[in-house]
Amino acid sequence: MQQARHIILSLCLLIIPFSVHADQDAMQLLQSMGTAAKNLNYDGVFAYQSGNKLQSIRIIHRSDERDEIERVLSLNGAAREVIRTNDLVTCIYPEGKRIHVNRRPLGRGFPSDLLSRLSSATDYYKVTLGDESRVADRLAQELSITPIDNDRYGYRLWVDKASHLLLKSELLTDNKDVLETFAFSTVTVNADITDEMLRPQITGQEMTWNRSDLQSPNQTTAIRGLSVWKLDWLPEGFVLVAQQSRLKASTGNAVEQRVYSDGLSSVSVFIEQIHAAHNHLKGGSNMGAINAFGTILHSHFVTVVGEVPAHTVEKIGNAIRYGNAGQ
Amino acid sequence: MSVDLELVQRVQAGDKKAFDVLIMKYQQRIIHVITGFVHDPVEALDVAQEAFIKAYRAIPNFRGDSAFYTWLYRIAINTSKNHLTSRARRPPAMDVDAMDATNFYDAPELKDFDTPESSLLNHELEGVINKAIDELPEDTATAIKLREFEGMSYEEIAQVMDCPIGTVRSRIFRAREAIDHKIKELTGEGE
Amino acid sequence: MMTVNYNEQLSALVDGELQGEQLERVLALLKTDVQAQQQLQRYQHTSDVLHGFTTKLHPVDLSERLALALQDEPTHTMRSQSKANVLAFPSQLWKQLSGLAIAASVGALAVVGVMTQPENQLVSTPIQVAAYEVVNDAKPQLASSNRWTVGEPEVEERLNTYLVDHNEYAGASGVFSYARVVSYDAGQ
Repeated sequence: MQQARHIILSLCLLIIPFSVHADQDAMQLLQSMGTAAKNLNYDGVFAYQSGNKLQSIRIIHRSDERDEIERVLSLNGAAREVIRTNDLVTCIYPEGKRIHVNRRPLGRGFPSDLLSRLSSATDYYKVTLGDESRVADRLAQELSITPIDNDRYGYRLWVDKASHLLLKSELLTDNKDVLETFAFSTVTVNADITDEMLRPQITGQEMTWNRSDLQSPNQTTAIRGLSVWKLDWLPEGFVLVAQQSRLKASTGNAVEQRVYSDGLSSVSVFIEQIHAAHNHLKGGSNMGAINAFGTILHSHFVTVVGEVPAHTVEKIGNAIRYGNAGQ
Repeated sequence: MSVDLELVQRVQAGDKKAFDVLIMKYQQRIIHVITGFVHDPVEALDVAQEAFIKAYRAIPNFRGDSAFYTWLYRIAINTSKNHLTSRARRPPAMDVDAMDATNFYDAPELKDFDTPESSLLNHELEGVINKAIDELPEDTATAIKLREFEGMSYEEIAQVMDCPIGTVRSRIFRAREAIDHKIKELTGEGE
Repeated sequence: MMTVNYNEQLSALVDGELQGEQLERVLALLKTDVQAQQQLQRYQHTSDVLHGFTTKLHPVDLSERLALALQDEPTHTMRSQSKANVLAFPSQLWKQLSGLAIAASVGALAVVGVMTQPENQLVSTPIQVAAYEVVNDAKPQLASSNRWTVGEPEVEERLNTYLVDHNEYAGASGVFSYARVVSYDAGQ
């Protein structure tokens, strides 16, 4: 038994690069939290609070050997739903009678490549175990994640001791102000989830289907002329973790998305060709804790979106250069 | 002073016709904005009409602190939201009360609003226009592109193209004439 | 018959690039000349199509219908201007007139306009109704808003698409990542 524990610990050491900031137990919990979110079947209701807005949301997640499928639906306000399957994200907005279908960027399980990213986060965050407390009538272990600088936010996470499912999450500014809270009020882990439960409430009969970008990822990477963009600045530790180009069905515009991450926080840079003088975000905007910064460069809309402080998206936005200037 | 502000001040001073020009200028944008909220096209036109009437009534209060369009846009958004709220609030059984009946008779078929270009769908029209631009002489094409796609002012275009503002104005006009000609050809309208 | 010269001025009017005497003349022309009105409409519509300010359907034109509806509206007299012929009504009278306009039902629309106000916002004159809305909306949105703090739906929609795409990667958990999408505050 003692030996077995020793082996597990050694394995973890192999996966997670050693860092002065990392509390090993805390990192291990973070890892298993990622696995749990992906592999468990669960059905619960959580609150999403941002500022004075409170939204109640039901999440139903099912995972088996072949498929992962998740349905997220708002319980108050407009009855919106998002359904994620292996390779598609379907957003249903009944108030606008619209359905958006997007191919999922990486076309595999979700959370997308979170597990592989986590290990690199330890250099930029101090991860420590906190107290035990009760969330959604379950015993939870608190995890405190503090960034090394103010270019990114910190987190407080409450992880279910039994299943390692994330039960509560807070996004924190450098002053420890809470920007956003997600917290389960009730959740059934290892729930029996039927196909019926994963079917959208609203059928698509009177909806407009908006299938944005259903070409395969292989095809999308073939779009040329978009990879000439350069970034002069990124927060320390942010590296390119994903990149894709797709054509928007609505406009035919090519849109390139690049995702940069330090392992925990991430920022997407969207670069969209302009074919007509549409208006675009100039400067900063935010939606809850998500900040965006927009600018126009070389006949492209450039937009930086991420759950990082406003000054970070702005600094990134201002550091984008068109590589082959003059062409 | 901007043309919009000039027009607004005329309306404020009692020149109702000046408001017609503002309607012509902004109706497509406003209908477009409203369609984002109200998806039924006939309903959207009703809401657009309501928004313009509200704007007309409120125009004495417009002080030019923001651009006219921004101000008009806010009214359109509010009118749309109110429309959706009232529609949701109204029980379905009550749908033939006097007010609705009036509305019903007021709501004409969409074709009543057709323009001469209506035989073409909007996206077809966009194709025709883009093709017409491609066929323009280079200077003319550049001028209209800088104006429409880059949103530049005549002065900025004059700087970029290194020519007098008057030349910019006539190039853009020639581009529009050529585009108009192409559309007329396709819709079979005589000159 | 209009001259080409006027068409060029109409084109400049579309771009908001007409001033002074030329603007005066074109506006005067537009009051009476149907052909000039149609031409302006055509130029404007071409520009709108290029800007994407169109609905999916056929092009539509509201101007005639609106002109009719506005016929019943009182003429504004709030500020006099040397250029225009103004009959200076006292503003009190103006308010009464607009109140009457509602009472006499300019069309169902006027009624709908007031009816759709939330009850606690019911105010006495249409001017105030509209003014209230504008002032209300002009306030800068709180950072806590569940909506992009941008003024234009076109921009907002693009940001929403980006939000969906970004959420695939956002957050520490993956569990809650799409909560923001379903929570998006469309109605306010």
